[in-house]
Amino acid sequence: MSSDNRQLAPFIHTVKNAPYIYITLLVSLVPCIVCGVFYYGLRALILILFCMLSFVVIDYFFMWLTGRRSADEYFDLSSLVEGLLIALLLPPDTTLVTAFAAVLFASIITKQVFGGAGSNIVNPAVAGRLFIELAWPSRTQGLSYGEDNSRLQLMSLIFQKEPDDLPDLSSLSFTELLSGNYPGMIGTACFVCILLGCIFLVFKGTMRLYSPVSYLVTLLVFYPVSTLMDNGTFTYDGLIVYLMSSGAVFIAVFILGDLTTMPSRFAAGVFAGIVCGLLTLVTKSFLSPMVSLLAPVIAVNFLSFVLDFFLKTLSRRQIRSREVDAL
Amino acid sequence: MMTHTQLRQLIAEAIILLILGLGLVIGGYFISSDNANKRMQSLYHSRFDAVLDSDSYEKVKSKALNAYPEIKGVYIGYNSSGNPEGYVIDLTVKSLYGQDLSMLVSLDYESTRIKDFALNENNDENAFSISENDLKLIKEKLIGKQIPVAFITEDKTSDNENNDRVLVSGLKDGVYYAQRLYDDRNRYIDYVEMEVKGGIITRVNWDAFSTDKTNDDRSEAALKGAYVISGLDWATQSYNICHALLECQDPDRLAMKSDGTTDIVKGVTCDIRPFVELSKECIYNSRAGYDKDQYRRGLDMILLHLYQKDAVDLEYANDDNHVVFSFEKTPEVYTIYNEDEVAIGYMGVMEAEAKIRGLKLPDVDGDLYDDSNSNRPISVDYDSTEDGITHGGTADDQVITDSLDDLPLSEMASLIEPVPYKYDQTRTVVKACNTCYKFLKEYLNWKVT
Repeated sequence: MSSDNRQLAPFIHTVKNAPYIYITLLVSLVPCIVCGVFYYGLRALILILFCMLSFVVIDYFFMWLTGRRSADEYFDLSSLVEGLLIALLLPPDTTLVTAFAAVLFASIITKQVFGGAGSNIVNPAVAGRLFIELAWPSRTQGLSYGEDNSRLQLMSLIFQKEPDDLPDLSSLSFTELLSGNYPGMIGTACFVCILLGCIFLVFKGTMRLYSPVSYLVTLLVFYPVSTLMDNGTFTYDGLIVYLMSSGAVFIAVFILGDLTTMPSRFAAGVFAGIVCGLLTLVTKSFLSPMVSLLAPVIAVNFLSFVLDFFLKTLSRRQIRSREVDAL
Repeated sequence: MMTHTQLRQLIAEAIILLILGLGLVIGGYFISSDNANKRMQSLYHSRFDAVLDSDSYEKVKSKALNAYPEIKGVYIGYNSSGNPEGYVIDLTVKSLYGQDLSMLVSLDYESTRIKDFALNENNDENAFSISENDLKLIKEKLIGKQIPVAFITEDKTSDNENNDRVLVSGLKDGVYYAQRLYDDRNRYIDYVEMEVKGGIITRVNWDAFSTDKTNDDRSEAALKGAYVISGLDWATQSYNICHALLECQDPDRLAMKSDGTTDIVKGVTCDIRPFVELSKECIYNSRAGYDKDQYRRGLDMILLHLYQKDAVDLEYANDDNHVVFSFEKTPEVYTIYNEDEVAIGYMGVMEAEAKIRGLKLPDVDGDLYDDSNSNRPISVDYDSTEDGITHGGTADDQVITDSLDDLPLSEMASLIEPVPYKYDQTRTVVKACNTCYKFLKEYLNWKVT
């Protein structure tokens, strides 16, 4: 609990309330935004702003339509976070129409239908991104790179670009992997930026580490087995390249660390992280890279409340009900 | 709710993260960009070395590419001194039967002649394949040719026979030459050089040298602005008419009017009479096997007859071995007179030489045209066509409308025949080369009409 001596209202359990958590998340994503805008320029910035704004507008419109919201309620920052996460998971040459489809699906189908912020079962950003990946796979391949990439290019926001010939990622140097200087999603490429965001979240105490850590450890441990079964060969370089370039670290930090859709209990969180990692490794050989990353997250999201329910029942006498500042 | 202190603190932290993120990203970019560039060059080398072995490559960014979706990328190769060596164009074109041929074409940077080409790996079901042996044969036909490339079609259309090419029969392979024996009012002497391969005219050049040796040739003077005519510059008009002849193969089909102009070759407004006459003389020489060297000796013979010295001794031969001399003061050598001693035309050098030597003209076998029985010297034939009407044509085929790959045939720079029994393969590669030309024409803003 906080050391703040001021009297809180009796129904507030912690000073780390929803707006605080969401703002912290937004701040932690600043380095990833910087990386995306630096490498992909104006179109990345427009995509980020467009996704955030449209998520807020759709959320508010739906709540107004269903009469679930009054004017004097606080501004729901979760919409901004979800919109930002969707944008950072998009390739830089995504059209605004495709991005809007992802936002629409995420906002209405996975969030508002289930009761809005804090009540959604699955992560809206992941569901929205997965939706467009499955519905229009060809529209999520726009990865301009090198001399094809221009920071002032805007046409790709309107017209779908043909995918470029991408270099073999296994030939990337370590510095490229660290700095995000290779073709990737807007916000998932720069390992250092994600790490910076992660440190900030841990420092602020708004992230549960057990799911992300167990997820990454599972990938680290079982990747060799998975690769040997798929290709018959394994290299440590391949492992490092996979972990740093696939977007797995971004998923671990900003998606599996989510307080709403991931289990709140330690054991359940670890179990969910392991399951998510194993599913990712199993599916990566026959699904597209992005689907193999996102689909397991949706699967463990569904698993989370069941896990929480059983673990709470088992430990009812020892542990109090769910706390957001479990760390 | 959040307190103001918390909010201020978070804003400060966001700014710190922004600065930190910027520093890390920019620093990381500069540290890693060298690797990225090396890897990119290595990738380019692995792909392009087979067609253009340059020191480095740079991708061309141009809006002109938007109009050519078949072109995946255009690259410029540079040598170790940083000078451009050539273009590499990566493209996929459709064959006659709709299959995809993916290939790399390299072109010389200055002359845009084809340097080499290679097929890209294409495992697609709809991929068009060319065997290595066939590719080698096609390369023999195309490498060194200037784009765009015209193609002798195997298609035979029966719906409009008038559009068929009228080939001049009996042409012998070789390089033929003809020059006017007198200069024009600007003191230029026109000449035409023609190359015949496989009985087909494959190269034509029309230019003029000045009897004043300090002056440039006419095309060079035109490009420098020293020789000005109405319409396009003379060099471009010469280029256009030469390529119109390559397309139609017969000077009579250029529909020269009595004033020496033509309406059917786009971009040509100048007097083409010298070109038509000299082309006809070249064709006649070709049929008689009287090549450029013999023509040169024929000129010497005329000079010897008149002045008892050859061109070298008279210092009339220039650096290009042209005889820079106007015979205007001795018209009797080359003029044809009728029984009333009225000049009715001019003879060529071969006839003049034969007349001086008292020899008979060589026997030219066969008909000049498929639909004519004439076996006549070209020199008396230059006015035989009706004003502005092409030989053997009707009103419907007075305009050269044929095109290849959406390029007018008058624009073609080279002409090739297909590799025997590999028509589709040759045609598809030619299409790729012509697509390269269309892009470069737009990219480099070539003013070709």
